[in-house]
Amino acid sequence: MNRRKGIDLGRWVIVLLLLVLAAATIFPFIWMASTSVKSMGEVLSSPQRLLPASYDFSTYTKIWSEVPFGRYFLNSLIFSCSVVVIALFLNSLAGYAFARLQFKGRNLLFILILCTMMIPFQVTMTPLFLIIYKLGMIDTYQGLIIPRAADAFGIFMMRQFFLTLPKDLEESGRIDGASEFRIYFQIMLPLCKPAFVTLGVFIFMGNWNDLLYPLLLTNSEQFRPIQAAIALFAGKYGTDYSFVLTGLLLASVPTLAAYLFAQRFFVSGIAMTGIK
Amino acid sequence: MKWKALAWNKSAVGYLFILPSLAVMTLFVIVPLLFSLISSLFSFDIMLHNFKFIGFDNYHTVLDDDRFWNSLKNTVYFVVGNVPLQIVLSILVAVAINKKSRLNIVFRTVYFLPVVCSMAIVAMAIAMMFDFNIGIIPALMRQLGLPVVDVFNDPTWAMPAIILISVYKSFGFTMIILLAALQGVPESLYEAAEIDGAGRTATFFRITLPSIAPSIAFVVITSIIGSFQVFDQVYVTTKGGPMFKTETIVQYIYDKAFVTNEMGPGIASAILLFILILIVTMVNLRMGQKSEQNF
Repeated sequence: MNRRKGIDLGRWVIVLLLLVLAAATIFPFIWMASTSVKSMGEVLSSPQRLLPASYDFSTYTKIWSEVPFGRYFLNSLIFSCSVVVIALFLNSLAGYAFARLQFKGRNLLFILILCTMMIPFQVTMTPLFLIIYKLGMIDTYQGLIIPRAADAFGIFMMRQFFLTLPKDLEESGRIDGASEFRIYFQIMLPLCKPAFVTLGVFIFMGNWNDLLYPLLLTNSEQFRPIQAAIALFAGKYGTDYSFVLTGLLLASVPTLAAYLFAQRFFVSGIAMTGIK
Repeated sequence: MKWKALAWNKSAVGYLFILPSLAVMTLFVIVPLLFSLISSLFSFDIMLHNFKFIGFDNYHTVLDDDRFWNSLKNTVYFVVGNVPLQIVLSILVAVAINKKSRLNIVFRTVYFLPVVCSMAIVAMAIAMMFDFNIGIIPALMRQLGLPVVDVFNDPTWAMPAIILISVYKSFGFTMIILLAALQGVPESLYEAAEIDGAGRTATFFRITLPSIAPSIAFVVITSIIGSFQVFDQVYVTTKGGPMFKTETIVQYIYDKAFVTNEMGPGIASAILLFILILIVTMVNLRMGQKSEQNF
């Protein structure tokens, strides 16, 4: 009897702590949102107020004209989405080959690819910059997209996924005399949807949120993706918090949306990679 | 004859399928890696002219540089602060919200929100929140009569602030991985513990932790590896200041390679970072194996 009371109290304490943590986690978001609709004067005069005395949505229209925000946004969109489309295609091709096709040196090549995951970006970033520079692809979309078109993690995930599919599907395709490519295209690819959603969101978010890579490979406003752009213009707008925060929030919308959309898939996707 | 042709055909198809990915990774990962290793022994300029073999001079330059050792010290400080905090927090939270309930799903979603945003955005937002003049945290603290510190400009508090940002941003990610691991622990273990009269703490330390030990080891290692590469949050807040108190190794590499254009030392220091990460990872794996033997 005593024990039951003790557990209840303990559980309540835990829930309370979790609530405090949740409040602390959400607080910056609320502050960002409310400050972005404060007037400049209020930002400076009453920082202790969380909610604005009067709502001023002007920054949400100003930001598109004061800086080439639309351009930055578009650059990130083109960059991230292109990488998603191309990488999903190339990674699934390779993943399928490693999972189901036989060829000499298959295991060795796969291990080689896995090993590249262990190389920190900083080791390759300088030569990568030099290579892109020599190819004349600095400050271009293709310069950003192509190096990201295939990655070890994506290939690994797709291979794992294909290994879980039953073999009879391809076998029946082969018996019917279909070429490997047709089997891949017409049988395997349509089955990839759940894996594509998880991996696709992952790739999209990874590239949308990347700072250092786009910072290196672009140097003009015309092609600069959004994280690098914000990092650079935030300094200029110093104390104009409502302006900068509007930018930060707008820049977060795609990833937040992608997350909320793929929530169900996302957790199981990470779980697949985490516990193996 | 036909069988042989079929077999060869199959092999060729395999190669064809992996060719695009392999080409991309070779050109943009493997070639840069090899280039880094080899060119670190040369001096050259950004136009890739004037290649001169100079042996380990680049490495000497870096290792003789106080600023390098400072950045190394700062990075270790960051790793030692960030990893344990993050791991402990995410373990506690994961265990606390393990049971399936509406409330726990809400908690899970909330804690994962910072993970979804970019580190740059999170860092900038938090830096602004702590701004000495117009940030809300100092303002509220003034109202409460508490002492206020200009956190991101204070040599003592700048790095802890960076650590705070990093823990805030990433604990949700580690938490999710551990939650998945917790799903794999059979209910019967908990039930047996309860029958034996084990309290909450005993169950936690004797049953839960050991059961997810491999996953904990995994996130510890990946956390450490990631933490050594810290860059974004420093670049958008302190840029290595105040007085180089938050300059991390990657900050140093970036500065050498892309600001002062000393490519040789830049690449050499990156390789030193790589070696450091390898050593730390291997030490960790060894320690993990040893503790597994103890079980």
